[in-house]
Amino acid sequence: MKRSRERAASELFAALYPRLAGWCRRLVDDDGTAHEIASEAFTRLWARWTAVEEPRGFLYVTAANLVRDHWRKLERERRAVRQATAEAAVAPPHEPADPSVRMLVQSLPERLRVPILLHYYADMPIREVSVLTGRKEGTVKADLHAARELLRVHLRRSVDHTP
Amino acid sequence: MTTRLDDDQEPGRDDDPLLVVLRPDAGYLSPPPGRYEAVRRAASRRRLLRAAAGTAAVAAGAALLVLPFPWSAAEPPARPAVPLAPAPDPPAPVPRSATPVPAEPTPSASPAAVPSPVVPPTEVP
Repeated sequence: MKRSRERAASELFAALYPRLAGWCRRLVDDDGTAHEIASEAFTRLWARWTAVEEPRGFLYVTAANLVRDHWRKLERERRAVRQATAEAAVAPPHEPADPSVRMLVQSLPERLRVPILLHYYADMPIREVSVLTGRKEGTVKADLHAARELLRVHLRRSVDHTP
Repeated sequence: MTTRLDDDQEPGRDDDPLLVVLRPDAGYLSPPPGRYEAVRRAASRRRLLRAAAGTAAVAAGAALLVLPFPWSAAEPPARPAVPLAPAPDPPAPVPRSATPVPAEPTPSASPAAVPSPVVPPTEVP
């Protein structure tokens, strides 16, 4: 039984890790951080005593929270550097390859971010998102609609500011 | 009027720039060699640590219930004693000897006739 469980874990890792780490890479600055976040998400999945019914959703939600923590930590460090050097603005050392994805994660509130991640990035149907988040399907649809409208506003602003 | 929220079907929206954001090209990042084994070991260590922490917490809780503590075995406060009625007066002390005081010899009595003291009989325990 242990062997079959080990085989199942190995197959899950082979199937999900590359895409999860690739998604993390679009949000953080380097491969190393992306691997750290993806690995931590899998560690938390397998450190649980009870089995997770939907591991894919669990992994993406966990990774999204870790990415958010990573960005908060970077922002605190930048603020500290700004205060220490009394500079008005400090250019970030690296810009992510896809700023729109970062904007997606940073701009949306938690309630709207999770359904977007699960539905569009983890390719989950609304029914599965509803089960995983514990919200009704109608509520999930409304959240996705609100999130898209919010992103449209942000996109329009970024386009207007672009020289 | 309720806005229909057919999220799954978005016909004619292929040129929506938002979909470019929401459905980016899938990026893949292969795991470094040995990453799977490292993750499995880390997960196993975390499970063991949680089990040990849980056992320690249960043992501590059981010890608090079983072991007597000073504040849990406090003696009940002493009840004030009901004042008793005053003790009766002690009996009058019994004279040490029951010898009747000899009468004063009368002057008319002969000198030889001195009365001898009467010794009370002693009680045998």
